[in-house]
Amino acid sequence: MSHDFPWALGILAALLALTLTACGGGASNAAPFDPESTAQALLDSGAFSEPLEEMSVDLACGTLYDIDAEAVTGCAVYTSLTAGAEEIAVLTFNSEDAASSALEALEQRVADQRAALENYQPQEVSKLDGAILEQRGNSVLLAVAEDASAAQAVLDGLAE
Amino acid sequence: MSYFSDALFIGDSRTEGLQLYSGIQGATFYCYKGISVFDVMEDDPKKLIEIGGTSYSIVDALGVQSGQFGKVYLSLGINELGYYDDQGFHDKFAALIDRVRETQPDAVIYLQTLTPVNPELCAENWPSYVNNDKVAVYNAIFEQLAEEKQVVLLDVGAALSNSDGILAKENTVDGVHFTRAWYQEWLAYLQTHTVDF
Repeated sequence: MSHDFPWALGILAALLALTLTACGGGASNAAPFDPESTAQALLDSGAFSEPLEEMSVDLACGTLYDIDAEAVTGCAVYTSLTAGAEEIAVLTFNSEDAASSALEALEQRVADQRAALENYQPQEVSKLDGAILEQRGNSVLLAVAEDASAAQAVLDGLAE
Repeated sequence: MSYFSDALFIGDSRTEGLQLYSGIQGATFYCYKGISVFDVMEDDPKKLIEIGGTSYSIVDALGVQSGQFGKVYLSLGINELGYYDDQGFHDKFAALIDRVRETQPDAVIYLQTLTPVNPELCAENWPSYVNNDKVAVYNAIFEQLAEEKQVVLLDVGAALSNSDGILAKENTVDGVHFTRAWYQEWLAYLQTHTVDF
């Protein structure tokens, strides 16, 4: 019996680690997002119904999110030509702290879009209800899709 | 330095599209999805413009940034297509022009005519009042205002319409908002239609 105890501890530790990586939102232990490949996977997923256009890093950091462009090391941002809610933002930063600040900025973006759209295009608000917001290490992601489940499936697949 | 580095654009989601998709450099934008001239000029307007960490209404932001702009471009009206208060539309726009002139005394004020919508796509995507019935009415009001207030009338509406006088299907994504290429066309028109004092 005394030989089984360390083995059981190892199993417990592994179970604990699995539970932590399965949590959504906030920082996770999965590998950081790669902006270009993650955004492309989302664009190819069929989860989005609106025509999305790529934004420059200057417009993304300045106009859209008000984040420090100096801290950005990678960027793939797409917004909707219809002025609707659908959006993809995947950014990497030179530190996890910078990524945490950016996550707050993306949360504010969702709130601002909700305020702007609730009277203008109210049918778009439900997409914001399903917004995916996640930090992985020094990277953050925002995905507002027509089909949030399909978008999440893509991200879950990338994390494997 | 960009020609637009001392330009201010006041408008709605189409102006937001100009900001995001045309490639314009250096300009300041007071724009907001769904906004109307009635919203801008109401007694207690929403604080939509952030300057230095504080939010202001458009009319207050003009005061905060008093004297900073050499050109002010106005483009509103698409969200008022379902309104039935043409005199009110005229009067609110006149008051907005007055506020711009009061706060930006050295600026050229450009009043942009409305680009029509694409009726076929609007029927699929927007409420029934989003059609071209009011576009000609508002553009006539803009002609009148340009004369009354001695501001520059920019016929963006004509420049971005096709020979049938509508927004062509290939230039719009939903009947109202433009493609990236058409926002670039709008910018090209602005770059080639300027006034110097």
